[in-house]
Amino acid sequence: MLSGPQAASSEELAGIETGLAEELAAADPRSLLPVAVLHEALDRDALERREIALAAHAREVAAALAGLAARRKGDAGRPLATRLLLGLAAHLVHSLPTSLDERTFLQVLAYDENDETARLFLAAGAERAGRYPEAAVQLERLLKAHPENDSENAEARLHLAVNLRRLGKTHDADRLLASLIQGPSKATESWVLAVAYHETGRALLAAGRLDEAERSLREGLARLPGDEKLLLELAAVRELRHEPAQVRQVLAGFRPGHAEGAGGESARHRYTHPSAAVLEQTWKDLVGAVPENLPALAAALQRTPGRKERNRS
Amino acid sequence: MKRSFLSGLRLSAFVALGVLSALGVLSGRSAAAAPQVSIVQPPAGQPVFGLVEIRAEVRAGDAPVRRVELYFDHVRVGGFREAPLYRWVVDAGQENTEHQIEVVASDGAAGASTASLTTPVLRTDMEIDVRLQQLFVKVEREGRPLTGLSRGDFTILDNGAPQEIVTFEQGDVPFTAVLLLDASTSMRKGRLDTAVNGVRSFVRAMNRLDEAKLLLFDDSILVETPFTGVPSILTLGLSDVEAHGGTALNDALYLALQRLDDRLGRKVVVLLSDGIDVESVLPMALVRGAVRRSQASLYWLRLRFDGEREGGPLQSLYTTWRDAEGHRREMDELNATVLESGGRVEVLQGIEDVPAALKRLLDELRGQYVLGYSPSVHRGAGAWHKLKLKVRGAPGARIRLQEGYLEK
Repeated sequence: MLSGPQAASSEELAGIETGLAEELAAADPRSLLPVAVLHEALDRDALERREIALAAHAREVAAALAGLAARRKGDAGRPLATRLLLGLAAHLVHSLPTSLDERTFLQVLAYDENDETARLFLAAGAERAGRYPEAAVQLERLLKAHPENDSENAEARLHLAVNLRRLGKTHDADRLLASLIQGPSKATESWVLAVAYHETGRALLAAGRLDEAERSLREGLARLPGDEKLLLELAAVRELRHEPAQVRQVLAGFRPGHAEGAGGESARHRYTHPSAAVLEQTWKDLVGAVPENLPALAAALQRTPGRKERNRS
Repeated sequence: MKRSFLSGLRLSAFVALGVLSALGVLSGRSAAAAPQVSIVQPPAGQPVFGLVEIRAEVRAGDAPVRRVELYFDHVRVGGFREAPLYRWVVDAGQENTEHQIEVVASDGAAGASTASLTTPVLRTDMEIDVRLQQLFVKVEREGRPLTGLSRGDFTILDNGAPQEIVTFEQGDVPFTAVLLLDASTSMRKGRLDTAVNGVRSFVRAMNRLDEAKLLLFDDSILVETPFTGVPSILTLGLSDVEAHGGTALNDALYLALQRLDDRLGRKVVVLLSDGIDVESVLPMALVRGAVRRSQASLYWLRLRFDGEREGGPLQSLYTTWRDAEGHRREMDELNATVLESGGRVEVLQGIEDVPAALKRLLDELRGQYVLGYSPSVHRGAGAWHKLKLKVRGAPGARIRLQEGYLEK
């Protein structure tokens, strides 16, 4: 329907589909979920097959259906809309271009401005695009909305520290990194701790504060033995002191395969890619909820005014 | 008491004269010529260490030479009954100390002669500064190596001061290389396999005394082999490696340089990567300092990165750890570092060009001139020495060598 000589425009088709979904939702709100999940699955498949037009259309409709869900009366509408959009984003965060998920996350925030996952991904996207002030704003809002959740927000605090330094707010950046390093180690994931030490070391090296850098790096190595980046930074301290024999001595203890991040990836790579686990779980839950909502969809289809036309077609 | 003492002295003198007379020392036989012996090796005044050759010349006197013996530090080493050339090899050890050499020749008739030599200690003001600065020089004309130049054709200027060239070689001078292979996501879809095959060919083509180490990296170091000339050791375990992850090129390059730091002779780093560093903790400026100190030559076989276009390929490249300006700066610094080291950047159109590029590199290393000199001026650790090389009798030639070095 989107290609060929008699193809309809994506907008026309989306309008028809959304109108129908609106009728179905009016008949039974539970019918929205299977229809939305169908379109999200279509987007996944089409993106994988590089059918860009079909994927874009399916995504457009899925987002519109989330909008429909949000407009429903009662308390369930907006949470469903948020879930539908986070489920949609689950595959978009792995797709190219990397900004494909941005619109979806912004829509999530329109329905729930305190959603941590959306804020973190938006901040990471802004950071990746070099929009550091925007990244800092998103992260500050996230932390302001969840001040009680210090350990879980360690990732956000780490990103904020890195971006504040880029914006010249070195004092605030140092304070955030120190809070991550000095916080309870069990509550902080090791990759966060590692990057906090890396960035502290980098800042001190760049400032020529070699003694402080060495102290911090040695402390980091005591907590994260064999960390490749900490060893390299410690070697750099010796390099800047013109102590080549000491450089060799520091690196003599290095062994490959000391990736310190989660799942075998390095800490810095983990920083680059926020975990999509929450998104994946949301998607699985949505797919799992389809069967229980199918009878509602079938009943709604029977009750909507366009039933006879649909039967004819 | 005094009287009896003098009587005893007279008695002793009498006895002594009697004994000397009995031995013939005071008789007419003392006029016969004894053998003449001299030590010709080592020369007088030369400190000796380790295995030392000692040679002596003996000329017979009135009677034929019956026996020649060597004493080294007062210990008899050995002797010869008859030999035209008297030669021994002794171990003088490594201690900086005097040694006593004595050669005793006897004819059994006229008596014996002794030649002695005391070798001196090596005085500190005699120590020779053996810190040899080596330059690896490529001379080309019209794209081809220019061979046949001699030592006298080259003039080295170290911080503007002419230097005496003390060693000069051309051709297959052994090298130690680190092959630095990018195994990040950009090397997926068989690109890594092709690159590894190129590395295998490179290693197989190395000479017997060449050695290499393979460092495989993405956002961290994945594989590090020992330095070896055995191809199977260098490529051991590579078949299981899959390309994934980010890129920490600066960090990997820094480690490569440190691994080369205590190696002697020609040092080479071959980097196979698109050159986009994302996740390093070290800036390229610091790595550049390490290159200057190590004096390794960098060769960058640059793979085009995804979406690269002619003219300003980095203008739109952003990553989490660097913006476009940061990437441009790092890439420029890497380019400058490579050229400053005396190496070169070769941009490859595709991964399939890797084996041929590595072969060209090997040929290039084998066609270099190696000039050695002892720098006449020392300015202390970390001081920059700018180098210039002039070649006589080679008009139109293109000379490539490191731009300078940091004093250690």
